[in-house]
Amino acid sequence: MKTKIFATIISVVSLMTVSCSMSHNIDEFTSDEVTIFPDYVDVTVPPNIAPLDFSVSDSMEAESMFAVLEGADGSTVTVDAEDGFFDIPVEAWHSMLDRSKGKSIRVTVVANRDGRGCAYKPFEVNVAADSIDEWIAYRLIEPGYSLWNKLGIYQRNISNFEQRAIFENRLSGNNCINCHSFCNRNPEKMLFHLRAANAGTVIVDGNDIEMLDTKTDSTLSALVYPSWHPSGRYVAFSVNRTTQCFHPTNRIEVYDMASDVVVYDVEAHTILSTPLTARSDSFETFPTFSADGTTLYFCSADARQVPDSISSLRYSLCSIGFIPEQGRFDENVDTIIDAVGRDCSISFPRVSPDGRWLVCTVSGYGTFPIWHQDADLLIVDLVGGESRRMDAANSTSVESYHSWSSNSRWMVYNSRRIDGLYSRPFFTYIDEEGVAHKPFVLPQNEKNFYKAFRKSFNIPEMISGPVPNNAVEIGNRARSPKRTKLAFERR
Amino acid sequence: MKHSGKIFWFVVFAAILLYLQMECCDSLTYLEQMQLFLFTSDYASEVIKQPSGMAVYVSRFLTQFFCLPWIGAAIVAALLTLVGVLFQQVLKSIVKPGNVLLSASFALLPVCGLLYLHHDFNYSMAGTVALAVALCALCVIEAVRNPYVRFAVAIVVWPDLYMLIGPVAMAGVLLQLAVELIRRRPMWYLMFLPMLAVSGMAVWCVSSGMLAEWRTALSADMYYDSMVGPMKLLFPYCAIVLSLLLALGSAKLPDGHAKLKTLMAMLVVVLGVGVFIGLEATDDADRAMRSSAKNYHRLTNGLWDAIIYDFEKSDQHTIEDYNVLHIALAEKGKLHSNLFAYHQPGVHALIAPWDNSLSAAMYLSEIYYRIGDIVWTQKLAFEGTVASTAGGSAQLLKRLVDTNIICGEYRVAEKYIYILEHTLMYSDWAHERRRLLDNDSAVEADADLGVHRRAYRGNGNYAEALDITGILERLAQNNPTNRLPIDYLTAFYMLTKDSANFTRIVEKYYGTEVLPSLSPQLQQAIVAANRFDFGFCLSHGVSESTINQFRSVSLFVEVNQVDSKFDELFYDRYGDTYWYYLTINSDEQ
Repeated sequence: MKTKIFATIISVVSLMTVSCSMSHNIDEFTSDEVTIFPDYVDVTVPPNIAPLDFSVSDSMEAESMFAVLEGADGSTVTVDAEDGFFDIPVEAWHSMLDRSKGKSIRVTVVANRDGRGCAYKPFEVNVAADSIDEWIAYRLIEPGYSLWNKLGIYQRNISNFEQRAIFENRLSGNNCINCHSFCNRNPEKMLFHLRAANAGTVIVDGNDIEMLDTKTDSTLSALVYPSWHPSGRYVAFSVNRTTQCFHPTNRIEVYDMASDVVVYDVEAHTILSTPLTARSDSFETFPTFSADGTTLYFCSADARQVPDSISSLRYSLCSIGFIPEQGRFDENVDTIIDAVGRDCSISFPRVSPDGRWLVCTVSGYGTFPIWHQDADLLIVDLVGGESRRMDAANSTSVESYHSWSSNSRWMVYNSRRIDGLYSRPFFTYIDEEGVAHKPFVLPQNEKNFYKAFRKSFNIPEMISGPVPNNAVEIGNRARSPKRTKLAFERR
Repeated sequence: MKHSGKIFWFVVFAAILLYLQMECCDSLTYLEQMQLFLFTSDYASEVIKQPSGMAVYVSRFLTQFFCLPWIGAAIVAALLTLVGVLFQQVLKSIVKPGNVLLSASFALLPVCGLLYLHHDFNYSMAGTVALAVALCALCVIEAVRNPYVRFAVAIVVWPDLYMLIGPVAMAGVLLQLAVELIRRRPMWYLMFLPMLAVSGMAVWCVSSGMLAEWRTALSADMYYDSMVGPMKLLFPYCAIVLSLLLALGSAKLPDGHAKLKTLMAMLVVVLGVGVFIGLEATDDADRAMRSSAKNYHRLTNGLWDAIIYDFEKSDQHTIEDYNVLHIALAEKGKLHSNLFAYHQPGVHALIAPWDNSLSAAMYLSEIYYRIGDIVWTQKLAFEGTVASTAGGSAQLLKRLVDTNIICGEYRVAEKYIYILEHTLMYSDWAHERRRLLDNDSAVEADADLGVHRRAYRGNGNYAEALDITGILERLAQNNPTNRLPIDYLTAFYMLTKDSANFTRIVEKYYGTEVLPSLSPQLQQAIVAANRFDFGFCLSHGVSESTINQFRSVSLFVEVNQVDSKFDELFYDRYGDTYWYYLTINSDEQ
């Protein structure tokens, strides 16, 4: 009796399984292109990226759908869609990526209609041979006008979907956190600023946490935009008298009424300055060191009355030599890109770790391009001297703030192309000729993540590993009044 | 009397229900607008993963129903009554059997304290939910007879409750310790261990960074939306202590004396209710919050007559009251005619600058939308959503949907539609809005959005500018049928005594669709600004009678200005004219 019952149960379950399992037959091939979101069609990805989970348009009606992923070695993975969303198994994906390095994965989406499987035109996902740093850090903040509420700096493992907080402002009095920066993508050596309550600059070096009061009588402001020297001994900063105002079309306009570039000596707790980067008749900002640390790049514009003349404010890309052994500057400033001549404005220069390329943001005017619809990425060949827009990486919306991978082959940057307001991190492969390939957005494993998520990914930075969990100690230091004051030295 | 306890609590429930519905229904709907509850797993995990998260989740779930008539009042009344009933069960174990009314009256005291807290918009109902859960747990644990089993249950339940409901769990375990001690239950001292366990949870939460401060880990500040909780957060807990002491004292009363005990119970009830009434009557902050709620309700429902009536009835007004009054007057076509019937404290009485608060963002966004200024509507709706600490505001999200549709930012609008589709009360509205996405013709045909789009875009004359007057002028140009922009613009210039600009406006637009005629007050302003050119005045809409009246005023001023009571005399004769405002009113512009 018990055996009969058991057999009946097994039969029923088997029948249900059979009747519920999806048909994976392909009966028909069409030339129709499938519309997927995010757009991963013909993108180039690193061999250690998380699965490119995607969804199809709701208008694509079908009884069921599945996708066949075919690796370069002919192996396949079949993924059934759930409510139009393809959730690719992580391990199977990584295995396929590994076998398809330097080649591509073919993806065929099939819709079951009236018992027939109709395949859409397959698309390719190109797999580069070059891997990417496994972690990125970013700030999550509403793309608002002036207010903030809950915000923090987070890190994400881009080979899977793990995200953790590095630091959240609830631990430091709900103040503003900004300008996180890592030394050579080292997760154990970083800095960021705290503004408003418990203001100061946090510098973390392994287990050492230092809180600085970076305002001095000789500088315009506390230290602002950072860029580490490759040695870790120095950090280039700007000092800015910045104003943000409500702009009826760009939403926000941010401009400097004055700015200079300085270098902070981490060991000596001294701000080093040269008159060449602190002129009263120009605005200097956005410094960054070259890969070998002997050149300091920065942006400079002739001083203007702002905001009246903001539309004629154009920042050129300049450079000055730096002698790290002495902490001294050269006596000449070179202009790399003359913005006035090109009728544009340069910001956020970043040099690739191999020293070959410099990527910056270019827009029509001004200094804060994330709110300018015309902002694009521009790549400069530091060997040959040519520069060109990174057409494949750019869009009709805003592209800005970029960060290189350790091997100089990948770049992560912000783009507002998905909806025009919320910035999302996009990755682009940059080959040895400096040509960018079609970018892809940071993968997520929820169907409507980018539709529902109400924060922008701000200042995406690649890091070589996870940042250790020292948020509580940072918060305790932030809330204590103790701050290290800095000296100032003009050289 | 049999069932006296049930009757007592039924009366309490009914009284609170009626009181909340009669006096606080606007506040309840306002509270619903200051939060967002989403039926998504992300929202649930985001809320619940923090200490007290479950209490917050339940609180927000219940609050979403506050937009329904009577439901909000019923929910709060039921919750408070439940707290009272549960606490009475605790007290019954201390108070002698038979003194049902007495224990009920003692249990009413913390209910009164909580009811007072509920008037403060910064107080989260999660605190009350947490207390109800804690009292329920206490009753269940105390019902276990075996001391070892009771201890085992307590050592497991209380630390878990700390994570689920927050620091009220500490109050619960302390209360249990007190009850065990008072009742001299066997091995009562074991209850120190659950207390230590809860303390350990609090320590762990702070040291691990789950909670930022000790203040929120161990006090009722957790349930208050502000940097520092006020003293009133302690009132319900002080009332609990007081109730315990009263219960202990009443336990010493001799048996019998039913009438005396009933009288005592009535006195305690009167004390509790009296303290509540006294506190509420003297709490200016609470009154201001209720006023904001009332203003918002009337603003969003177009109850203009009620706004004007209440303004005139009261002799104390906030800038918000003025802002709401002026939009009501403007909607009734009476902005100019009544502008100087009230004392005007300056141009911010028209539209105040935003103070970074959610409440101001909510009402200002409504005013700007009615005027037609989409840019500022959207800015305030967005910033208000950012300012919210309870997930957002459905009304502001609706404004974000509409303003982004008006501007043609369909992808952004879709984001907010998606969010609202995951609410209970607004999903239908959001779903209906989908038909407008990427559908310019449908937007332009929409009775409300179409008009706003035309006013915003004009024929390329976008109503965008850095200052409000620039926007108002373009709105007036783009959509002359909406009188609000031109009324506000001219009112703005009159209140700032900007004669150059209101003359410019009249010169440019008089006789056109934008400004076909001048109100008496605007005529008064033009005459005052162009007193040496009556010909200009006559050719630009000023009547002979206005000019003659101006002559009379000038003569009056000339004759009486040396009089010590000149202000009074002037006010008596011409107090409702622009001339009085121009001459006498010296408030900040």
